[in-house]
Amino acid sequence: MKGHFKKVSALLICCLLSLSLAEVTSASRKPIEVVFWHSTSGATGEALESIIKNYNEGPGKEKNIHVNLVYQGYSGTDKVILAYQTKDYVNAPDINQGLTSTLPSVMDMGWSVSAERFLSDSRSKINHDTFYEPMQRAVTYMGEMVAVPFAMSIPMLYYNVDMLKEAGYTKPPQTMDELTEYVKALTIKEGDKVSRYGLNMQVKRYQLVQFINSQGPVSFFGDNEGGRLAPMTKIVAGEDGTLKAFLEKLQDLLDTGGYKYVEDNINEEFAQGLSAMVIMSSSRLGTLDRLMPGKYMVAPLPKVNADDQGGAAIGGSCLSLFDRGDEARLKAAWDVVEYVVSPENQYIFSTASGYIPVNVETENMDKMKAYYKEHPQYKAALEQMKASNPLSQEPLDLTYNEINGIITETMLEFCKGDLNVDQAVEKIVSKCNASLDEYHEAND
Amino acid sequence: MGMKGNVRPKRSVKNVLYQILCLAVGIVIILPIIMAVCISFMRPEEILTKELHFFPNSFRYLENYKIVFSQTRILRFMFNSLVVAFVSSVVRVVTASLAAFSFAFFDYKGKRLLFALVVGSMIIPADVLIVQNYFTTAELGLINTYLGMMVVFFVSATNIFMMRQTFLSYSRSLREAAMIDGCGNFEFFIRILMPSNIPVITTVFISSFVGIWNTYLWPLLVTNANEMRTAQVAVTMLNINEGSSYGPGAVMAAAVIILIPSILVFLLLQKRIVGGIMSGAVKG
Amino acid sequence: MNHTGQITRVAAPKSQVPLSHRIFRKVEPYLYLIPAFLFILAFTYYPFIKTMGLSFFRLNKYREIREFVAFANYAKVLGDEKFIQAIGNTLIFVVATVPISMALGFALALLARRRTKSSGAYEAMYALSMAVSASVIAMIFQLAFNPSMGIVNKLLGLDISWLTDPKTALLTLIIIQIWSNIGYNFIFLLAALRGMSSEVLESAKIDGATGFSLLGKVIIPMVSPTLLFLLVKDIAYAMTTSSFTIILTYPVFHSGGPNGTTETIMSYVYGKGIIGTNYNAAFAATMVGFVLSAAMMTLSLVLEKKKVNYA
Repeated sequence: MKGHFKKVSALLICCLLSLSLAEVTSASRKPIEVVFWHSTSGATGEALESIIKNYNEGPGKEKNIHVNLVYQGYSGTDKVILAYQTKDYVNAPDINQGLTSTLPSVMDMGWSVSAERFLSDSRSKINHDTFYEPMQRAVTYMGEMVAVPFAMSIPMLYYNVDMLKEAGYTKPPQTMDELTEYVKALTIKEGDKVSRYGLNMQVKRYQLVQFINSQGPVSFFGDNEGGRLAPMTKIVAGEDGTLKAFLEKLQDLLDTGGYKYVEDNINEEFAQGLSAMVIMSSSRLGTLDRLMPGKYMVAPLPKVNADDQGGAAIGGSCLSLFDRGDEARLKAAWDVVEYVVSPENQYIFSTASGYIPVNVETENMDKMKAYYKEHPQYKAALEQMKASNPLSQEPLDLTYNEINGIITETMLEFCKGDLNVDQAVEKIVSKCNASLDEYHEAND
Repeated sequence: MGMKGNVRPKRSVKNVLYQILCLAVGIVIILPIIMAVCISFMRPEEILTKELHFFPNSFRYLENYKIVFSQTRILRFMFNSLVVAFVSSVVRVVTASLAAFSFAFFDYKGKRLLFALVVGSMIIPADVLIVQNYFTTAELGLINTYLGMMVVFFVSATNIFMMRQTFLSYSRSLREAAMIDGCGNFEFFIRILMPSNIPVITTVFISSFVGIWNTYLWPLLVTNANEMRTAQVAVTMLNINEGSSYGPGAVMAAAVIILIPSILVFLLLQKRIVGGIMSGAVKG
Repeated sequence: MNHTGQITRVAAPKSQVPLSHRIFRKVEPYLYLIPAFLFILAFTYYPFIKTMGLSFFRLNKYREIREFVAFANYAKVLGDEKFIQAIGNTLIFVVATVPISMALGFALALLARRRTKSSGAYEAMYALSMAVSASVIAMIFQLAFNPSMGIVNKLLGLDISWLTDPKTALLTLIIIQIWSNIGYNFIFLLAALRGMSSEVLESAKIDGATGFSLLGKVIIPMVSPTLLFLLVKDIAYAMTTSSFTIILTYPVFHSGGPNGTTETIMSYVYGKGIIGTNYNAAFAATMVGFVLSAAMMTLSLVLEKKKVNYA
């Protein structure tokens, strides 16, 4: 009996010891930390947070990965660049959300990892075809997909349904010429003052490049296919006549006297009925749903020439990856990215934020179909993107901020009548080229 | 029994009128802030409308405030701002008063040059220095720390200048009397000079506190954790144009919430700005 | 002092004062400066001198040195009409905002000088503009100045596009800046006014000084140290400001306002450096701005000799 007891207790002790040993070793296996910098807030931010929370509690737990989601405002990309300059691996992220226009800057850093590496890997759960073609191209630089599409939107024409009906229109304008006609009919003047504008849109870089890309089968703002095959060195929209064509149509709009070419508070003014139509990014759909639910509809961007096929360009922010010297971490980061762009999570993200879902499967989900039925405007944004030529893209002009300033300023002068079409073309082209030259002089 | 003399009523009418005037002027001055408060209680459609609309329809519309608390961790942010602002302000008072003491009460070689350096730093724009300071802070290993958030705020040339002005106005004879009493320089500083300059010290503290409380960029730049964000970040998080923005109402609500501690600090310390009769005074 | 109130201290001969004591005496004032200078040198002058040095090189977008170019950056920046315009705007800004904000702050301090039961309330109100951050101030005024729905146009019955019309944009920023400055100026002048010696005031009144002559001959000289301080500070701030331009006009125009009318020296630096990653222009412009500011500061400090009374 005693011997038996001894054996049992010895066995028990062994069990206890091995259990506690297992505890200790598993506790000392710290999860791999993935640092994810983002700039979303509001409902979009909430959606992202819930997606990441689900990851941390689900797949993350199984794979021993923990995502640290950090809000960086819009300085995320600047901070990565700062950290790079000091080779500060500790204070750098694994994943960063940045604007697609910053891709050349991001890829110039030695520690940036091109998404292509993972997308062409057969072991990866996602590949090129996971994403819509225009989106693939939006994150393409120097011939490969360097980042992963994340929060994307497309410009659209928003119009006040009742106002168009009153003026006798059953459908929205499809070309700039039609737009001009509509504006004439929809503008209301009280004496000298305009009390309701037919159209409100300020032409800055965002709007201008859209009207250029969309022309012909496709057009580019700058050389090297808009700076995607190789770094952009000059503007071509002047040489190929697309800039001039657009400005001529804009001149017609200006001549109606019912086109407001500056933006003060475009959302609120549209909601208050101070303008009948506006042209803005589809990312404003959420705001308008809050301000004037059901009173507006959207339509594709009006064509400059009736036979244009380029279509509007998708744009927005994407996710970039960085190698901080730890291969396991990099792989973990990719796992997180795969999760975020999955159809289910894109449904969550898209319906909360208004951005177009990046995964081609999402629109086939029943609940997404139901959502689109209730929110036809969001469907329209998706459809416009699908109908565009994938080559129609936002340019990767290396000094896009300065170019934005040049375009904004020149367009204001043009709209006021201080410049005519040819002068405006000349000014934009020469100043933008000077800006690009200065950049290359300093950076090549 | 208290005797209410017949001299009283006349003076108090004038006094009351004077106070009403002061208050009225005050209301005009803070009209923009009143506007912010009103907007924080307005529905989105009330904020930008064609009709003249100053007061909200109802002060019971608390949606904007709810959004602030649910969308941002504003209380945590304000706590961080409190730590940074309070500690930095205290350190500032110390560095400024010591330096001002040196400039005001001593004569020595290079004093003018050193003071010129201080004044000169007032015109060096901080924005240009941020990047290099980030590198310096990184090299010191202070990224993601409270100290890192505070270290660039520890000295203000403006404060040194202000205190130097005040110390220069301090009565020479009081100073000499103290010296004759066998008071050492540092003793004089601690036991006589500082206590009799409470108004200026308080003012310097308040202006430092409020200024640092409101900073946005530097703390954001040197920290990479959500828990270390400061109060102003809440305003930025709500001020979005894209996606589903909440409108100016929520931003104003955040702004009002952030304003409250500054007002509290001011009210708490207000009595000390009175200005005693002693500072700079000479008897006889 | 002994019990009869006479001074009976005799100075000790130099040889009896220990060397360490004498050295300490000499070094003492510098010691008090160490804490402040430690930080000023590390976080203001060190980066600034680096910037100055870098301005003589061509830099790439990561601020890395490419080659030495001496004054080429300066030539480029001084030849940029937008920069010259920015300098002009900044000077107008200084001249317009500084005197008015000081006068208003002073007027309020004079008004609030006497303590009453409700002092707490209106003193806080006058100082309040100091407590609001620039971005919030900008948002409030932007809503107020909206051409079609803002309160300013509605109350005045006007149709001015305050922030987007080249004729009014700078003026609007000046108004906003003046409002922001009032609180700070007020509170320091209040402390100064309350700290005035009552004996001096009484004797001046007995001498017959009242109203404006009291103000001009007695009060202003007595608070002149504070006035000088505020003048220097306000000028320094106005010469190096960029906040309202960046917050209110850059998002709209992506440059310094309509026709560049609201570009200040520092907003130009911001536009070139932070936004355009063109550090060549940014650093050279910073240095030019610094030289101008230094000139203005020197001018105002000359006033110290002439006009400022220390007790």
